[in-house]
Amino acid sequence: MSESVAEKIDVKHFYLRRIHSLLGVFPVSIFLVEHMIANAFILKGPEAYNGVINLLRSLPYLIPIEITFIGLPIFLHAVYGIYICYTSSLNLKSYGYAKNWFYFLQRVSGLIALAFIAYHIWDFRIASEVFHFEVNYEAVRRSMRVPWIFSFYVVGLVATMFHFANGLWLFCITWGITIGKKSQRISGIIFSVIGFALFAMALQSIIVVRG
Amino acid sequence: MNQTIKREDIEIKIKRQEGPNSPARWETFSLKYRPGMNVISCLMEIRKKPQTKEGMKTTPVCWEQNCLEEVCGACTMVINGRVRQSCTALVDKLEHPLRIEPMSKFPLVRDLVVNRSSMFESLKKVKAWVPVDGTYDLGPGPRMSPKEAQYRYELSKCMTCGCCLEACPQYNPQSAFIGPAAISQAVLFNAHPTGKRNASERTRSLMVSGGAQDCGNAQNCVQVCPQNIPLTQSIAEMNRDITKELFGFLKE
Ligand code: HEM
Ligand code: SF4
Repeated sequence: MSESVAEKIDVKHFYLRRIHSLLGVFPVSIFLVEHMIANAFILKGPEAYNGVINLLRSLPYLIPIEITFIGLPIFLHAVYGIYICYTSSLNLKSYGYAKNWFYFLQRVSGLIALAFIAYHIWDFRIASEVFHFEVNYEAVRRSMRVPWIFSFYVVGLVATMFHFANGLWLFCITWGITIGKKSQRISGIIFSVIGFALFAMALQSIIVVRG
Repeated sequence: MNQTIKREDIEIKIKRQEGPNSPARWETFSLKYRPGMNVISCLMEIRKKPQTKEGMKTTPVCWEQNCLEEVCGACTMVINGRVRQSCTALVDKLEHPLRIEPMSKFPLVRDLVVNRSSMFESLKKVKAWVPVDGTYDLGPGPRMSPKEAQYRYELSKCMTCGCCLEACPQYNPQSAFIGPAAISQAVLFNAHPTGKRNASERTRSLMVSGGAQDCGNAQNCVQVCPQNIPLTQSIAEMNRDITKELFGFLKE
């Protein structure tokens, strides 16, 4: 009996890791892209931006959607991500190869992203419910004009976008999509471009909103 | 480029440990330089007269060696912080003083000798062989195309030296990861025309805790593998087989 139980736990661990990988892309990465596009409406002025916020907030089943497709996936990905950090070790001093640095940065950026996302969700989603104020162009502007908050956002965005781009590269390997050296190099170039583009978009939004 | 500068003395720091439960200590040795020396010949020189630089008598250093041409893997150790075979670690090409340690990822036996039997256990776990036992002669097996043979030859060069495990940050006491070598061997036998029949068994043996999914893609393994085995390609190849196995239920 003990063996079959051990085997079950054994196999479960494999599924958990694959689910972690899947959640990183569907829906977390997809949501990240959607979120950056929605934010870019800042460029169209306060009215357009507030319109997008109001549209999103008026969705039917808003809370279940937010929990199922945003909150829970990020939470589960983060919990298992922290466990992965625990099972990792560092040997950059002896083996300072670029990919080894990326391995390290994937973990560090995940942890920074977690702190950033937690603060961000509090500031722009939960606090407004608790203290009954409205999140709109003005509120975002007020936050982004505070120097430390703005700096924290820049750091958080760098970490998140690196984690996102390198994560897509990892995803392609985890699922056996990119196998050889060449395909991994090409996917690396493609995801770098996507990562930098999304970062530039996000940065522009938070700079423009400051006015 | 003149690499063979004449040296008066070579200084070597060696991490010593009497046994698995004894404390470790560093000892420094000083040797007369001879052209063409490698780390093994240094150790042999020390064995002749085991005396530290300071003139203290000590025990001869224990190490393992076999082929002396980088195909057996027995003399693997950590030299100047990097894992490699000591037979091909040429004194002229190394930074001095030399720093020599045993591999850190395997149980220590004594000095530079470690026990790598966990690697053999891993090969058993992934069933890295072609089962052809039976009661009658099955005749010749299917033929391999030159392309298949070439691909498999590269993977077959693994000598179980342990370099890839030593350099892998996911291979450590907190993690159950089986490591690149065994995964690559599973791929080798999955690509065998007769071994293919048991491919699913090997693939499934890596869909467990510590299986292929625990790779973190630091990709140090390909950098340190002395046989230049495309280990990251093998791991991704296995990941693809696992994905197919995962969606196998769709065929039903
Ligand atoms: C913006 C939110 C996030 C996105 C878009 C994201 C996306 C991804 C993706 C796509 C992967 C690749 C999956 C794979 O390896 O196959 C990944 C891996 C990873 N994620 Fe996240 N993630 C996010 C947040 C987090 C957080 C908050 C943590 C918490 C520590 C985290 C920890 C990790 C770790 C450790 C890996 C590495 C897996 C490995 O290399 O073996 N992630 N992430
Ligand atoms: S794969 Fe390469 S580094 Fe790893 S054990 Fe085999 S020969 Fe050594």
